[in-house]
Amino acid sequence: MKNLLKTALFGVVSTAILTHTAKADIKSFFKWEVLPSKYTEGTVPSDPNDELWSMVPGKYVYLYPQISVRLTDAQVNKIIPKKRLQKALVKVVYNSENIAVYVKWKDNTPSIQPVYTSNAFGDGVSIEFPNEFGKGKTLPYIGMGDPNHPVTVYLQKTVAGRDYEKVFISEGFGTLTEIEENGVNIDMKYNKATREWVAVFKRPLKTENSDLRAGLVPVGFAIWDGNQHERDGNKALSRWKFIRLKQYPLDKDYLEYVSWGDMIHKEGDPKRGKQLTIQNGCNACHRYADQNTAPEDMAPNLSDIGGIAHAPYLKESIVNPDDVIIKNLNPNRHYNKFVKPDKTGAYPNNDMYTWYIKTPDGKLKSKMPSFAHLSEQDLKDIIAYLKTLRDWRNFK
Amino acid sequence: MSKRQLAMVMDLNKCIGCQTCTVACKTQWTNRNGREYMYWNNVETMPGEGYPRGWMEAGGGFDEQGNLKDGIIPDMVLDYGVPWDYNHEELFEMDYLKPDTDPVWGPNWDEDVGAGDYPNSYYFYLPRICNHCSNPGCLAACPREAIFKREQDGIVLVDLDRCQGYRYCIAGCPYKKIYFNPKLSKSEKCIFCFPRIERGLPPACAHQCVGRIRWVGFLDDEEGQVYKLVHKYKVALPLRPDFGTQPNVYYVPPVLSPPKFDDEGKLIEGGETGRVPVEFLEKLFGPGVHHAIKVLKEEMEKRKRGEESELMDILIAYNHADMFRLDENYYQNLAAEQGLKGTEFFKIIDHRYVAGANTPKEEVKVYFEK
Repeated sequence: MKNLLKTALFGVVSTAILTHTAKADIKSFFKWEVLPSKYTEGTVPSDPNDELWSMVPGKYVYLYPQISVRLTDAQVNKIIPKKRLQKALVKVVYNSENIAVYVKWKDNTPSIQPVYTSNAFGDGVSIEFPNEFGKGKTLPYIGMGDPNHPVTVYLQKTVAGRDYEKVFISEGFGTLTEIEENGVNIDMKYNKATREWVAVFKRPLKTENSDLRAGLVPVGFAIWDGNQHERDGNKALSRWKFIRLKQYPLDKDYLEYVSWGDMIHKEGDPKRGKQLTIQNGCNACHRYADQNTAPEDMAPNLSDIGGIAHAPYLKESIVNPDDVIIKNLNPNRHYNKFVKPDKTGAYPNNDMYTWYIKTPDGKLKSKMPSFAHLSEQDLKDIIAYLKTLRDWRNFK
Repeated sequence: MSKRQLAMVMDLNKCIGCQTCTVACKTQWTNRNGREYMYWNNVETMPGEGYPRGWMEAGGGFDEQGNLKDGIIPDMVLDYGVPWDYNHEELFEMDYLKPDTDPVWGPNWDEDVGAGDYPNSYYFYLPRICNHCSNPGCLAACPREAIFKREQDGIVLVDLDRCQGYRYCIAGCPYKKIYFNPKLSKSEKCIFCFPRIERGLPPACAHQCVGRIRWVGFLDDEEGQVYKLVHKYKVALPLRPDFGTQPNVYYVPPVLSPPKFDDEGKLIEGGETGRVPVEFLEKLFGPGVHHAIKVLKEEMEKRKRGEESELMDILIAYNHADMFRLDENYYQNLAAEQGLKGTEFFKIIDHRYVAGANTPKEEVKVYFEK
């Protein structure tokens, strides 16, 4: 590990003169956010039990219950406040052609969606890669991308009698579209002795949708616990993690961008940040922590945003909300009862709950105004505060 | 949301609970392929738990502000009831008739139980299909936007290519009339027999009804009997309008239940609806029930006096052609506009539903090590 850090840092530091904070950010970023990988001359294993995996260094990734949007299953919503943080061990192996991502997590209640029931669910796991990333590219929304940042999603679910292995392209909630991608293989096995699931996602480094041949590859993780009725948006979700592929050059600008603010807790004042969120009226639309006055679904719930979002993503979202436009779940969930229904008796959707507007030229514009006028320190304080929000237990 | 809306009216005064509609639907659509447990059409006894058990208390629908409410997904064994068979073979060996599983609930489990104490016990039958609502709860709940309402006639269908089997639709539907197909791992529901409708035939449940209690037609067809029952006479009312989904199946409330007896066994004359408490009818069909009862009684009296009554003539249901006013070349014109000929007619609007490509890979994966 230390060697990896040293070489990585050496490469960066020697080529650029960085400020002290940026250096600290990068150091912390490598420690917490970067996943190591192993290059092999041989074939990349797709079997979870392959011996090679025991020789590959891994790192733990934390996954948070997804509560940015609320789904309407009463049984699940009761469970969410009782959930625990999910932890998965991730390993990566690649050669010049393929990459395999190994994900191992504890599950004392392995469940397979049975052949004949109405309300039981299977365990599942998925990973996602942005279709475009690198220098000059901002991070996609972690929840399956957004219209400006499509992602490719690889999913394995345990469904009795079927191989529920799927590849999707996604641009945010509700847009998941199944595609065929050559050379993809996903395997998932349960180890009864250690009570752990292991899944291996293998894909070519370059597909028609994305090219992972880069020094730093963003990757996101999601895990579903069938025993807790998890499926779809009810899941545990990581923030973007970054795979270091040493065979490819590390872009220092991109590294500086994604690592920005990794030490924000030292630079910003969360207490002042919270005051600023209230002064600037964030709580008029968003719900977070003890701020629950905004109408539900008016805007994404931020109660666990600190767990699933990075500082640069948060900064981008505050300064330039149009960059990452997140679509509310099905807009039909709220209709407007205070206007006249049409001749079939249908009420139109309540526009208050759509999170963006379409300009006449067809562009999407977030309903959230830009807060670019805030000072650098104000932004840091707010982001420092947002990074402390990991409190799904108060989900309402 | 749609340009036109198809609707069905059912006269509960005439339903005898024979389940012919249920069987017509089952043999046509749900006796195979993971749908065995589903009843897109069922007839339940009211008051009662219904099918699935306790559907009225299972959540879904919209609150007064128009926001979708949380709901639950009924359990296969406890709420729907698993399909079971009987030991017909063993009967020859002097056994007694018993199911081959140990069921705890099933469709029509509480048939004819009803409510009230002897001699004033009461019940009536309530046939239910999907309401093809104007603001469907299932459509609103789907995070995949896999459920759509047809522009042409307001029929609500599942796009099986988009459906991923998350089942929020089941939680979102307050009538619990959308079902999970465990074999396909997708949701399925009553399709208002759209392939029949497009050919000018009513849905199988309506066509087969021996009591001729069902009318089918477009709500904006002022010549149609559906329009007259719903909008002109206002005697056909939606089920649980308080669920807020604007359902499009309408019921003529049961006003002809027998009168009550007093403690000494004498008939009590009067009362709006005989033994069935009007409060219960109001709960099911909303405040419009009082007006409907009044109009029905007045028109019945008129007819008894030998006067003309258009409403009574409609409810007598003289002929199918008038009861099912569907076609009027509506779909044929739509198909012609799209330049479809012959069997292409089938593609008219439902390529999303018919295209399918949903056949699952039959490869079996081993998840647990031996």
